[in-house]
Amino acid sequence: MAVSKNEVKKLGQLSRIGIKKEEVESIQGDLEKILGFVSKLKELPVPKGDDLGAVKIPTNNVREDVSDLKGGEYTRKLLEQAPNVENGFVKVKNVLQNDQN
Amino acid sequence: MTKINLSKLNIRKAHELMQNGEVSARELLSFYLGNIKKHEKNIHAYLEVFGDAFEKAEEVDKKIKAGEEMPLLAGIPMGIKDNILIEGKKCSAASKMLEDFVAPYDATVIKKLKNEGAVFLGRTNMDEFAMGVSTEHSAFGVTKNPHDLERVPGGSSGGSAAAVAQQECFAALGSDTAGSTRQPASFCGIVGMKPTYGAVSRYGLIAMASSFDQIGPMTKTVEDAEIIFDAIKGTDPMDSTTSVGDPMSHSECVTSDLTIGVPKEFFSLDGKNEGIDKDVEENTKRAIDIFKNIGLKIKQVSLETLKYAVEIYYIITPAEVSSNLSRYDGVRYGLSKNGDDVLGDYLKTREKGFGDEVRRRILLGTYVLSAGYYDAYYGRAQKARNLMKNDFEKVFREVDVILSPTTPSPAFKIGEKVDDPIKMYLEDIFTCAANLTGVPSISLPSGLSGNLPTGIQLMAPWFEENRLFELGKLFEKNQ
Repeated sequence: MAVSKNEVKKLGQLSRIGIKKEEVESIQGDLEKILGFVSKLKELPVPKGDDLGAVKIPTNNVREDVSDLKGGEYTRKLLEQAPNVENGFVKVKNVLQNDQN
Repeated sequence: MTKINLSKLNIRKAHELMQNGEVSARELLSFYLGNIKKHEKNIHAYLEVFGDAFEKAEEVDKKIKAGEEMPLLAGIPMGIKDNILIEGKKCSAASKMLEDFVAPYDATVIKKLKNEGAVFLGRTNMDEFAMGVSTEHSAFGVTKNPHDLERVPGGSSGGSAAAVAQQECFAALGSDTAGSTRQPASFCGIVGMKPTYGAVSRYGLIAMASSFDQIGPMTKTVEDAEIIFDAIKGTDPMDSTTSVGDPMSHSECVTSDLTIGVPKEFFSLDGKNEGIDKDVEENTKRAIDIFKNIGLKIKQVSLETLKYAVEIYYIITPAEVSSNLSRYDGVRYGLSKNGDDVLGDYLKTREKGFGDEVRRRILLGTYVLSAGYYDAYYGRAQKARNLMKNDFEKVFREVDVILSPTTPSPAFKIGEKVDDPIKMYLEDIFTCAANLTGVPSISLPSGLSGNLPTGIQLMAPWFEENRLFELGKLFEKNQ
């Protein structure tokens, strides 16, 4: 399975993982090796289209859609774990940017 | 008074001795803390040994003195894999990403064990986010195999396995996504078990691949595993995948009436077993003879899809990993690195926070899920997974239990496979089918290869854990 260097960079962007230039080649090699390995699965005939093959689907165990938590019970505890906090809020950098600049 | 050999106790015996006042929970704890002091510098089974264990043990002693009848696990010192949350304690999943993360609540299994009065000794080492088979992918150093310090203990629950084997805890919890309780149990000469998918709540388990993960016991004996399983199993409103009601079969299983199937794709009863270590093969054959002598029927069966188990697994899990681990963004908790902008923060945080194997799996998962490749990889693998489930349903109409070695070889040397992901992945060859199909499975010590332990694995139909325990106990007795 061929994976190009550009694809590796693209995957890094998509999965939000920084990849150093000098790492691209070894990651490319690893991915090609693993994809080559799992491609053996192509030998196995599987049902066509959307048919997943008959299988018992387990049912979910769902609870009532209500909360028995007191308001703010965990707020302090959780905010203590946040790296950047201001006035009781988790703080992040600007999400909207001006692309014209 | 004869001195009691604490290392030889099982949970039931320890419970009796504590309840009768012959041994205190404090004494029992001291024994294990003493072993930690003696061996931990060589083994590195723990990422942290808790300072408050004595307090908990004394609470148990006080209650016993006051005449209370305590649950079986009261005062039993346990190691807990570092991906299971204990309120107020660090829980890092052996990753730099969560190095300083403090659990804000108890996992359901922890809540249940606390109610029983179990004592938590510490958090055990593992491969980062449970991805690996050797603990070499831990961000905080490798655990050594107590049987040979140059070898790995297996993984990902390698710390738990080594701690039990080295008597650094009475018993431990691990988690199993492809064999992570069973393979290290096999490498360290202990019992490791993966319950049926849905039997044990994962609320408070740091998720790796959610359609596979289960928490399971790692113990010295089969009965100990059964006791812990009984304590942690059950429906949980906080985990929607736990089974509704109680489908566990409580029927007495008459073990001598059972038929054991041995899949030819894993192990040939009369032909050559290439790729399987000679001693592992010998010990597996001996185990089959033991079951035969007890009166069980042995049958060679075939499950065509087993040939593709590792391939299916290494498409679907990376996909689930890439989705599950997207939560680690440096915004709400965990490691946070500063970049030029908000995207830069993410890229840097996840580059620095994740180790090589975790990054590899996230990238791979992103690849197999991406447009253009989805049908060829993920879609096909999901269909193949269903075919395998159907295969298992069919074969369980013919046989009651499936037997194979747990791993093809005993523990390998530290560093031997670390640069070759495929070699590492093939460690899961016999174990991952139980996770793909959801059936319960147990690894039992089957003997030695030189000084290294080997294991056999049993798989039973969904929610038939009973069969595994009953056969496991019989096997122990007739070894």
